[in-house]
Amino acid sequence: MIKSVKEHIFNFFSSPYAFISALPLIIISSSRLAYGIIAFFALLWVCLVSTMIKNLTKNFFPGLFNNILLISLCSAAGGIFLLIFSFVNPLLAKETILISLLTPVYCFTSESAARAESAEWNQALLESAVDALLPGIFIIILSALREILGFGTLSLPGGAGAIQEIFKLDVLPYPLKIISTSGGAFMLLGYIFIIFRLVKSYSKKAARSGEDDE
Amino acid sequence: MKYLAALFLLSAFSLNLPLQTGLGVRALRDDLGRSVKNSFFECAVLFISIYIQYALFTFAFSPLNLVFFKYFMIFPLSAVFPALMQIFHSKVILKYMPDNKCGDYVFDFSYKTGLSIAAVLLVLYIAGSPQEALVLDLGFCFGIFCTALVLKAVSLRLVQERTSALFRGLPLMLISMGLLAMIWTQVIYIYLIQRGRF
Repeated sequence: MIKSVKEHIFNFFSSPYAFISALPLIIISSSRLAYGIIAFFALLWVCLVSTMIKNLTKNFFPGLFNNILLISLCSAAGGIFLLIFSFVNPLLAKETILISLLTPVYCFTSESAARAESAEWNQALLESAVDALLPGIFIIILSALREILGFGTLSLPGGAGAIQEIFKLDVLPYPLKIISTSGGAFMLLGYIFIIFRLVKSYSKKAARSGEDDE
Repeated sequence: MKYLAALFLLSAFSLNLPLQTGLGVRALRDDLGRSVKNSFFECAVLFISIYIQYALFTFAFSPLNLVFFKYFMIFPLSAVFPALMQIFHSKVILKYMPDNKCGDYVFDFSYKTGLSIAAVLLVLYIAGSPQEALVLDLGFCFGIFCTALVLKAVSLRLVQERTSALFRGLPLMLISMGLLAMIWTQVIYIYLIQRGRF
C-alpha cells in the first residue's frame, strides 16, 4: 500500500471513526448502489478539479477571503459536475442533487484543495485522489450492502427510469427493510464500528500470544 | 393554521437534518462541551441565513431565469452570512461591549457541515409561500437545536452508564441516533393526514 494511503486519516483500516466527517454523504448516497456510484464519481471529480485549479492558480490566489474563494471553487466544480451529469441522465441528476451539492462541502472540510497550495501538482493530485477514493469506495460497498438487504435488489445508473435494477430477490425478511432507511444506516454503521473494534482486539490478542510463543 | 403546524412538525422531526441525513453530526459531537446558549445562537444564525437565501433564490433568481445558478451559489452564500456574523461579533460586539456575557462564539457550524445547503434546498422544494418557508425554516432550526440537546444528554448517559468497551462512545451513539431517527420519522403521518394522503 502506498504511504499516502496507509497514513491517510480516512483509511478505514487505520481509523474508521474519521469517516464521521463524510457521514452525511455516506448516509444519503448509500441508500442505493446507483446513488453510491454517482457519489463516487462526484467526489473524484470535485476533489481532483478543485485541487488542480487551486494548485495551478496558487500564485494568483489572493490571501484575503481565501476560504470564501475556496468554497466558491469547490462549489463551481460541484455545479459543473451536476451540469454535465444532467445532460447524461437528467432524471438521476435531479434525484442526486443533494449528493452533488454535498461533495464540495466534503472537499472543503477535508482540506484536499487547501493542501494543494503547499505541494507539487502531482503530489497534490495524488493526495486529493486518495481523499476522494477512500470514502468513495466505502460508500459503494455500503450502498451495495444496504440495497441488497433493504430493497432486495442491486441498481446501476441508466435505463428509462434513471436507475436499472440488475436483479430482484422475491423473499426478503420484512424487518431487514429498515436498513434502507436513514435510521437503519446509522445502526448499520454503529454495528460496523463494533465489528471493527472486535476484529482489532482479536488481532491485538493474536499478536500478543505470538510474541509470548516466541 | 393546522397545515402550518403540520409543516413545522414535518421539518422539526420527520425531516430532522442531523438525524435523517447525518449532517452536522460531527460538529455536534465535537462541540458537546459547548453551552446551550452557543447552540441557540448558531441555530439563530442558521435561521436567518436560510430565510435570506430562500428570499434571494425565489424573488431574485427565479424571475431572472437563473434557477440553475443556485446550485453554484448555494454553498458560497451559506458561508458568506455566518462569516459576516463572525466579523460583526468580533469587531462590534466584543469591541464595544466587552462586559457582555456572549463569550467567544464561532458561527462556522451551518456551512461547514452542509446543514444550510440541505435546509435551503428543502425549503425551496416544499414551501409554496413565504409564510410556509418561515415555518419550515423555524422547524429545521428547532429540530437541529433539539438534536444538539438530545445528543448532549445521550453522550452524558454514555459516560455515566457502565457499557461494554465494544459499544462505548461513537457506536452506541450512532445506534441511539438510528433509533431516534426511526421514531421521529413516524411524525410524517401527521403531515400526510393533514394533506389528505393517508
